[in-house]
Amino acid sequence: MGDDGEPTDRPDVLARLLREGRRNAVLAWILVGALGVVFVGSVLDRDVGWSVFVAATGAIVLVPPVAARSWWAMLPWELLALALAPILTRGLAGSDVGTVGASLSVAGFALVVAVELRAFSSLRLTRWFAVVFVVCTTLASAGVWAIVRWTLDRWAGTTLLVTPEGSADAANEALMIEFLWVTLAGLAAGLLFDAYLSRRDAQLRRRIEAVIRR
Amino acid sequence: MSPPLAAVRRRSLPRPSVRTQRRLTRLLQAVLVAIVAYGIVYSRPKAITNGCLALAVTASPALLERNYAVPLDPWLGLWVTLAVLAHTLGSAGLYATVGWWDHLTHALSATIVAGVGYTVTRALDVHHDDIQLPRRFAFAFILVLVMAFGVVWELFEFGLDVLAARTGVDMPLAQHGLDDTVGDLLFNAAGAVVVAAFGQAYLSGTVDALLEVLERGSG
Repeated sequence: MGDDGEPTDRPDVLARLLREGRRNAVLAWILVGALGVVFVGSVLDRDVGWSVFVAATGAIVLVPPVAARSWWAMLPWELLALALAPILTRGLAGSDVGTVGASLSVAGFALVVAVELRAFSSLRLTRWFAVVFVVCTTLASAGVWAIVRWTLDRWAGTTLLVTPEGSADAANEALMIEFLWVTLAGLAAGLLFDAYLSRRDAQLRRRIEAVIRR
Repeated sequence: MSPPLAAVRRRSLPRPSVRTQRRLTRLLQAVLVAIVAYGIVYSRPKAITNGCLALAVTASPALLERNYAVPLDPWLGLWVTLAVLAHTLGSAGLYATVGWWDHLTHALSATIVAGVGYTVTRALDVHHDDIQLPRRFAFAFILVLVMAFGVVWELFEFGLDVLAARTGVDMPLAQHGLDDTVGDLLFNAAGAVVVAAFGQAYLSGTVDALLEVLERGSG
């Protein structure tokens, strides 16, 4: 798939990620800091499921700086702000956001994964496939998240999927309703991803054209 | 893909001529039609839906190019037919009597979902000039597609359950609580990993063979 020309796509990745420069990196790191606060808070609350989810999101967000071995290689902050908004809202406001909020959190996580896959590889998408791709990433994340919670319930004694008073069938139904919301959230994230990419690509094209004309 | 590797992969499985491939595909489709007929005659809705789904899968490469003369790779076809057969036999009674039959079918169908996901992804990649998927992240793409399909599948089963509860009609698929659902997802993930790890070489050959035929057909 694609051409795997390592020497040609490395600088491209860096250029794309570093385009916003230091201002972007600082803003992005502030968001990561907020995520860190949410993580510490959830650990102190002994909220195992949420801690795992926030830690996984943090790990995904930190892939670019680690891979590029540079503090400045961060995803565009406005995208990060949007993707992390549901998680930060839930964590900093301390309120339970329910199924919809959880679905949006999963969609935000998936959005970061999709953006990174696009930034770090020679992935090229059409507009409709970009939307499908983000929906798939969201559904896949929801599936993995369900497996993780089920495993935690089983081995760590948590009650993330099956509540003590609820039956296994009720838990299954709740999970299915969550999957439905996740699908909608994924669709929203996909449309957002598409709108964002076409804006950014238009911007980039204008800049390249400006350079060529010079 | 580097040419020498491709040559090795081609040799790994005997590849019949295009005409034989087309015959084998027809034969496998005949088996699937027989499964559907069995379902109609003995009123087993599971056999009907699964047989129809598998038939749709065997037709998908052709639909992709809107050219019905394109055959399916016989090994992939055999693989799909085997899984449908396993599931149909399971519904016919083996699920209840043989404890591990359920796991066998889950694993088999999970690898197929992974295989089909990968093949469709690559076909999109090669056929759409505007879509290019990186080979380095193929593993991630297979995982994403298969897991996503697994979730959609569970939603589909749940929808059938809800419909069955409303109408009282016996549905071909049913969820059996949370453990069953998560078990399905786990098998899907495992199937994706297996296909990504061991099947990539073979599947690359499958897609290349398919493309060869497509090019010959359209050229």
